[in-house]
This record gives sequence, structure tokens and C-alpha cells, in this order.
Amino acid sequence: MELTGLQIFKHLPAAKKAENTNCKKCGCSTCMAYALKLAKKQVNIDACPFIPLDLKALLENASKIQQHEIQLSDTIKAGGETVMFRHEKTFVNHTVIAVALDTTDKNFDKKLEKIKEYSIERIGETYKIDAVYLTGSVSDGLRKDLQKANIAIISGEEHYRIITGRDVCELEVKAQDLIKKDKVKDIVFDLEYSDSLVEQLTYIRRASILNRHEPLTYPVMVKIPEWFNLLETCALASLLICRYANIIVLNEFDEAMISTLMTLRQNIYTNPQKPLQVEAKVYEFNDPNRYSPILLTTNFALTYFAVAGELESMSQGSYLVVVPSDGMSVLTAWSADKFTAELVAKSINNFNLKEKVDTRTIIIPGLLSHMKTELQEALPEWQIVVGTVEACQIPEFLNKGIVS
Amino acid sequence: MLNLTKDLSFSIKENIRTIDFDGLTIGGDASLSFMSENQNIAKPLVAIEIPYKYDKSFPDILKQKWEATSFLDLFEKAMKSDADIVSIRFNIEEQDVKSELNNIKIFLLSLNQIETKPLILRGSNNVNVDRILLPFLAENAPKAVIIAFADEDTYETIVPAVVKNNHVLVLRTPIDINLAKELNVLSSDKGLSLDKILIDSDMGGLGYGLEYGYSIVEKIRLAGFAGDSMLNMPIIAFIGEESYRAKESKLDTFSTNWGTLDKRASMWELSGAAAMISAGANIVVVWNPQSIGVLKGLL
Repeated sequence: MELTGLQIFKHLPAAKKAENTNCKKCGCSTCMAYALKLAKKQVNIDACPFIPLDLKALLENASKIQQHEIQLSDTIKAGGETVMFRHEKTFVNHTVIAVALDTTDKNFDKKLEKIKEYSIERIGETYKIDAVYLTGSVSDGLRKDLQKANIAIISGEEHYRIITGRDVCELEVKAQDLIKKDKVKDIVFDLEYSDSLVEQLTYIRRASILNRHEPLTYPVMVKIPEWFNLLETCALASLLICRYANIIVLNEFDEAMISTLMTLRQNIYTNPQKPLQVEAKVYEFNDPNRYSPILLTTNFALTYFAVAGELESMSQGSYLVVVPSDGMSVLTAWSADKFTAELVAKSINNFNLKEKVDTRTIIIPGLLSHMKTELQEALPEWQIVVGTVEACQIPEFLNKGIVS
Repeated sequence: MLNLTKDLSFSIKENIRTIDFDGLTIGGDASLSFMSENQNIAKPLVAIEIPYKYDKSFPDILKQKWEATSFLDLFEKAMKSDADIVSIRFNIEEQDVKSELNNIKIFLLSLNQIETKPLILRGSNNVNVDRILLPFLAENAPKAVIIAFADEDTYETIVPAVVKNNHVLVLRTPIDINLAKELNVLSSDKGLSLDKILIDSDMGGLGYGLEYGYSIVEKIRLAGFAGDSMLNMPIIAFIGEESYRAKESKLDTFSTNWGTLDKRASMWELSGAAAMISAGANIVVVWNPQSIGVLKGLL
């Protein structure tokens, strides 16, 4: 973490009410002004002749890299993380999901084709396989082909060095040698599987993020052992997405597993401060007319996409009124007072819904059935109908024709 | 060279509380993610959950795995599994509560005759049902069990029966660390021992807001390690229920890139369970019997 101006100020003469307080020798009017500029790196640390040694050490440490970011291809990077927990700050580069392939395998082309074609979409994001871990020789043609498909190659012949080791100590010693003797700058650790795998990964991540211990500040790759079956692979890889692998190499390409892992990765790598949210407004699906049903929900992206997906899949048109609720899900928003009858009424009036349609029925989420009376009172011109608890029940609900 | 214990160990003020329950040790963690650095490895436990009403509300893909003919058959199979705990979900509709209580009593009495694994007796998630059902389960349980769950609306009715019969109680709050703490304080004021509480901070399933529950579990765990005596209880996550609510575990209408339903549903639960374990859950409650072996192997 960078030091803040205030953290720096605490060490300066003015904060200690010591001699040379606000001496101006640095060119700033006060120690505080200098501290703020130093935090922004707008002045040099040597400008202050009275800078204490402990502050100097702190600043030097703060300027060290926490975890190197290794460029695996033009667009795919591994590492570069800055925190231990996702609630502190958004994780930087999502775990690279790679599939192991042997270029001498007689089914190589077929397997590669499947990997190249793979793509899923979830909550407005499209995901593809990030990389292939190649054994056997890599031809120039293959290299070009993969570059075009935007899939990174991980192999022993890249611009970075791969260091293999069983634990944190072994990797540290090997890395120290490479950095000192061979002046190697880019390293990827290949941490071998062991019973204490997650423990080793945690040690490495702490050594880099918290201690900024140079020999261990490189991204870590874990290859799932060959003797793991698909379900075991899925469970272990999920653990590794949460606990500190930067690259995961899968032995087998399986659609169900990869879509599951990519969903978990999306969850873990979302910005913790800003929930995924969509714009609060009236959304239209399949050219609704003035009598199409109207549904209501919060602006939490997951809720929106779950409902929108269902409405889109139907043959009839519909409206979805999305109420501003700080990107919270239905129940969370309700318990946090972000989804009140008053707010819903206000939104519906703001959206001019009455002019848009002739229907006077609004379907509310089944989870909010307890709000029905309250909403009915707040919206006397509308009839409030309690809808389904699950989004996937919506088509059946609407097809029953309860609502015109 | 860095010194592992000196430079890299995770500093904690206090261990997580330990619940000694029916031969099991729940909690007691001295570090995150079942690391062994501080000697005490707190292994997370795996509970398998089965529905009392073994009807069409239970997913077909799970029925195929259990191959059970009735609830009692299902119960027997769960007892023979490798799960550490068996959780029975009394999924009873509001209008049936009164008429079902007697049948439930007969079932619970029958358990006195046999050796059973440690048990979770769980309500229906309906406030009106649980207010009647959970105190009843607490009174009629064959031994000390885990009662799940009391929340803000029900704890006042449920806590006294749990305390009287010496059970462990799951306290559920909606994904908020302060609410979790508050309910612990309120329940303790009602006489519940702090060493008989399991925290359930609620969660969304994989793809449906899992990250919120995940982060709250991490935060609760960190607060516990920092010495907050009202947040250092073991944590339970009902991942099975959340997983099988997801469209991905129910519908076969996804493109081929999402894999087949059966495989995807199994993986959806496993992935969510592994994530919650890494965040700090001490008990994960799963629905798929296949998940038991995989998760226990992982630990």
C-alpha cells in the first residue's frame, strides 16, 4: 500500500513539534504541505534535510513492487495483485484459466479447436479460455494461430522463466539465484501440488503483498495433478481461485467445469465497493404493447439479468421496471430500507409509466410478498400482484395468464 | 531468507470458539483456510442435507443419485454416507404444520433406538412454520443436535427451547456483519451460551451474489481473530440449498459451452462449497451425496 500524506506527516518535525518545524527548506510552506506532495510523488524525498531514517525506510518499502505483473500475451496478464482479501480492494488480474495440451498428441488440432471456439457470456461479460499450457515443441504457425485467437501460450520457451518448486522456501532460494546471477526479471512460479498447497500459496502471497519480499513477488501457477478426476479438479480449482493461484492449469477441457470456474472467478473478482448494478429505468422486451405485463425489481445486476434473461426468452412482450436500490438484491435492499413502498411509487411516477401503458397491474418479486399491502397503499392507481420467488418461474407465471 | 513463522505467519489475538458437539469438534481455528501454521488445524466439516418431504420439490438429478424410495430410505442412506453430519430439512408447508407434528415426533422417537450421526434439524425457512416447528424439534430431539435456524423474527421463541435442551443453535442474518453480531448479542441476552452458536451470515449461490456472503464470512472470521468475542463463533454455510436454486442447476436450456446439466449442477455446488470453505466456513451443508467424498478429499 502507498503511504498517505497523513501517515508521512506523522514522522516529520512539525508533527513531533520538534526542531526545524516548518523550516521551508524543502520548498514547501509547511511540513504538512510537503507530506501531501511527497505522498503524490510531486517532491523528492531528499528535499527535506531532516527526514528521519525510519520514514525513509517506510517509503522505500512502500515503493517496492507487491506482485509483478507478467504479460502472458498482448492482452492476458497474471499477477499484479495488491491485497490479501477481496473486500479490501478489487483483485487486479483474474486467475488465468489454462488448459494443458501436448503438441505431439494426435488429437491436438481437434482439442485446440474446441478451446479456441469456447466462449460463454455471463452478466454482460464474455469469457474465453485464457491460455494453453503447451508441452512439446511450439511451431511458429501455432504461435501465430493462438495469437490471432487471443489465447496466451504458457511454455518453457516464453520471455519469462518458470521456476518449479514444492514449497515457499524452495521457490525463494531458486528465485534469489536467478535474480542475482542471471538478472532475470520476469518469473512465473510453478508450485507443485502437495497436501499443504493452499498453505504454501498463502505464504507466497503474504510474502509478496505484505512483506514485499522481492524473490517471492511473482505470480504463481498451479497445475492440477493428473490423478484428480473432474469433480475433484473443480473443487480444487475453485479453492485456488479464492486462495491465491494466479494461473490454474487444467488437464482436461470440460465445458461444465470451465463455465463453473469462470462464474466463481467473476464473483470473486468483482469490485467489492461497487456492486454490479444496472441503470434504473423501464426496460422493454420483445416489443411490448400497451397491454403487456409489467414486472418490477431492483437494480442489482444479477437480479436484473436473471429476470431479463427470462423475459427475453418469452414470445410475448413485457416491461421491467428497475427501481434504484444501490445495486442490492431484492431482500438485501428491502432489509436495508433501499426498497420502500415510497421509493417504488416515486420511481413509477418518475418513469411516467402511466402514460406508456394501459395495463394497471404491476408484478412484484415473490420475495417481497409481505410488502404487497404497503405497496398497494402507496400506488392506489395500480393493482399489485405478487409474482414468483425465482426468476426461472416467470415464464410459467406469465403464461398462466393471471395478468393481462 | 524469510522465516515462515516469524515473518509470514498470520497474527491473531484469539482462536475461533470451539463447539464440542456429539463427538465432533467444530471451529477452534487458529488460522485462515485450514492452514497448519499455528499447529491447530481446524478441519471444516461436511454435512449432507436431506428433505423430510421427499417429493417433487426435490431435484430429479439428486433423486437419481440417491435412488431412495422414501424419506426413511433416504435417511438411512445419508446415515451410511461419509458425511460428518446429517441435516434434515423439515420442508413443511404452513397449512400442514399441526398435522405433521405427530409424525415428526414418531420419527424422532424412533431415533432413540439407533445410533445416529450428529444431526442438524432444520426448519422450513417460513417464519410462521419455524416458530412452532423449531421449539418442537428442540423439545423432541433424541440427543443434543444443531437446530437451524433462528433469525431476527424467530429467535425469541426458539432460543428458550434450545437452551433448555442443551442444543447448538444456528443464527441467520442477512449478509451483514453488524446484524450478525447484534443477533449473537440478543440471543445471548436470552440465555443462549456463546459457545452454542453457529453463525449463518446467509449467502447467495455461485453466480448469484456468492461474493457478498463470501466476503462477510471472511470479515467475520477476521473480526473473530482480532478478538471480537461476539463474532468468534464457528460459521455454517447452507450451500446446497443455494446451489440447487440456481437456474444453472435446474435447467437444461444452456448452450453446450455450459456443459451438461447433471455435471454442471454437481460442479456448481462443489465450487460454491470450496469457496465458502476457503473464506472460513466451518461446516458446509451440501445436497449432492457425491460432494461429500470430493470435499473431504480436498481437506
